[in-house]
Amino acid sequence: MNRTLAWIVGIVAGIVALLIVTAAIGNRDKSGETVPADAWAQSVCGGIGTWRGEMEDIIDGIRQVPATGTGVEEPQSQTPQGTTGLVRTGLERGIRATDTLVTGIEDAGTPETARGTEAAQLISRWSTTSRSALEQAQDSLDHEAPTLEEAVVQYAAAAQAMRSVLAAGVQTLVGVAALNPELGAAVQASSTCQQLREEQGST
Amino acid sequence: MSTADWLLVAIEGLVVIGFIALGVRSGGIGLGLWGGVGTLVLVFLFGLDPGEPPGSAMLIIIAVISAAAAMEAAGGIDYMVVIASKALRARPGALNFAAPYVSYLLTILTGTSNTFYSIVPVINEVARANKMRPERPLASSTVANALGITSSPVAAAMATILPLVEVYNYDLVDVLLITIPASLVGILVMSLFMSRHGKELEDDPEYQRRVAADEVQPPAPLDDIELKPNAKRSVAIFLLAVLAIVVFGLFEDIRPVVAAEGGGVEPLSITPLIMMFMLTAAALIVLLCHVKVNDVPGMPIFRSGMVAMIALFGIAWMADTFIANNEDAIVTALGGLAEKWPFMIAVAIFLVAALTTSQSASTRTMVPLGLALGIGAGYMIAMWTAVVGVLFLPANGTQIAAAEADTTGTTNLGKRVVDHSFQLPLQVVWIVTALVGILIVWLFFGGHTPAPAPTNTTP
Repeated sequence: MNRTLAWIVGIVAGIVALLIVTAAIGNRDKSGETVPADAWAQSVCGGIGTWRGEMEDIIDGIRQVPATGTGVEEPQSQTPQGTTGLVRTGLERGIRATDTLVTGIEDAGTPETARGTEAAQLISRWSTTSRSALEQAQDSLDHEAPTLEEAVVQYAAAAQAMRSVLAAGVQTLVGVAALNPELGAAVQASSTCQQLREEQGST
Repeated sequence: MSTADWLLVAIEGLVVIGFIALGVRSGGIGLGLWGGVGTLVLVFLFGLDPGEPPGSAMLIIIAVISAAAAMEAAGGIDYMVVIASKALRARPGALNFAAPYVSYLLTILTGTSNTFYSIVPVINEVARANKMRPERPLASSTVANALGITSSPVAAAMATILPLVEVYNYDLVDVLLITIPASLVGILVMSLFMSRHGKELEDDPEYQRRVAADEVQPPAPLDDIELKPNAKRSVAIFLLAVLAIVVFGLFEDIRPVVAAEGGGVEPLSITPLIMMFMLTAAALIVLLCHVKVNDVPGMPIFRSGMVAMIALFGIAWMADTFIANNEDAIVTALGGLAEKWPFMIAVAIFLVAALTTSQSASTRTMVPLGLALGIGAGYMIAMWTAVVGVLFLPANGTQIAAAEADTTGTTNLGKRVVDHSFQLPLQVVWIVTALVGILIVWLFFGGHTPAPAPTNTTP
């Protein structure tokens, strides 16, 4: 076996080892399954917290023009010389982030409570509606508006879609938590929910 | 996206790879020229919007090579080679380990890999003077330099990941406690591999060919190097400028402030500061070390730096033209891969970084996805180091600069796009760093994070 082939085999073996280790770590696709209430609260609040982090980054990118920048992100520039997205890019990233949030909440499963099925139905309804709204928003952005007025309406609609998805999500989660006192207690005790409350309180 | 759309993206990708291949085969500024042709083809034939040429990276190269070439003209490079060689006299091979760590540290302190340009000529000359294969320290230093981004508290990519993991109670210190030790081990293993990689310099056929063709001179014995009277002073000025960049990189509060669009003020970013300090260093060396300004462009460092800049111009412009038009498709495809098989998340991070040549893009798209899939935040931080995949294709400025600086020809950009000198250290370092990071999280951060908090209520 020549040296190059040995390197390739070694690298492939390393990647396989990494894949095995990652598989062993596991993930949390519990969609369609019931999970303990505390684990459910932990996952859901974690997902929302990550979404908030993404939105912060997006908003910062939109409103902070760089010190010496030109309003565009340059390739291979590792410092924020360009805005990472103007309005359109920011909206597209926001839609993607919200879509990821929906995935996370779907994967969190159904809380294992007396009214778990109802909770699952509420979440499923929200995620279906949300995905549809986000897809519409993305499709709308993919088409160039013929006039300035329509472009503004298009952007406003995309932003509104994100807001609606989040508002409906919060409403859904409040509804789910209200179904059973155990869920309410789980949300109170979860470390990610506590962290989320602190972040919301500080802003 | 329809099948036809995907097919079009694939064809455009193949065009990019084809022109990179033509460029690396051509060598030198050929890489930039073919990159320019590729951009033209993408814009005119495929109707893509042109991307952005890498203006900041090119301007930094100009500033750094101006300072380094002025130092070379003052004899400073010779002085550094002599000093480093004396320090390494007992174990010249230690350069293979020291250089990557210095390069890694520079990135940590400044938050950008652009400071690497300032040490490329020194690493190359020290290796050559000690008859070592320059590829070993140069390639591993280039990779270590890019890896430093995920260990730097002041890097833009760090600012991107922190808000994503804060909700899981991971703050900056936690992230650094995972990425720094993992990277230190990764660099050590990479350096070990690289210290045995390739033939010794004098046995290398390409080097022998270049010596025979008089394209490169064998290094003069150290004792024969005559130091110029102002050599030491030029080195002091250059190093002071690097130190100033490090200090301003590390402490944002002492930077000048500029108006922010959203109101208020913000610290000036580090990129213009690097340019200012390097040009000032060049001016001071010319002034205080009695260097003739006209001698500076004639220095070998200046020539190789300009070649690297032109190469970067074309190739990065072409890559960005492809990426700017297809980033969504790339992220969607690789995101879909990770959603279907979550165990592929580290590979997906690596590939997104490779195909978008952006650590930030990979961070902001793949890390939230991994977290949403329920992979623990600690593990995601460990696997985040895979953004070093930006070096997978030979289209990064630091890679091009390192290859151009190495006149022996041992450090190269390959012939088949992915067989460049940086591939082996890159593959070793990202795999080892990710694995060690995962081990650190498992040992010290409570295994599968975040652990669900216990509740006091019972159904």
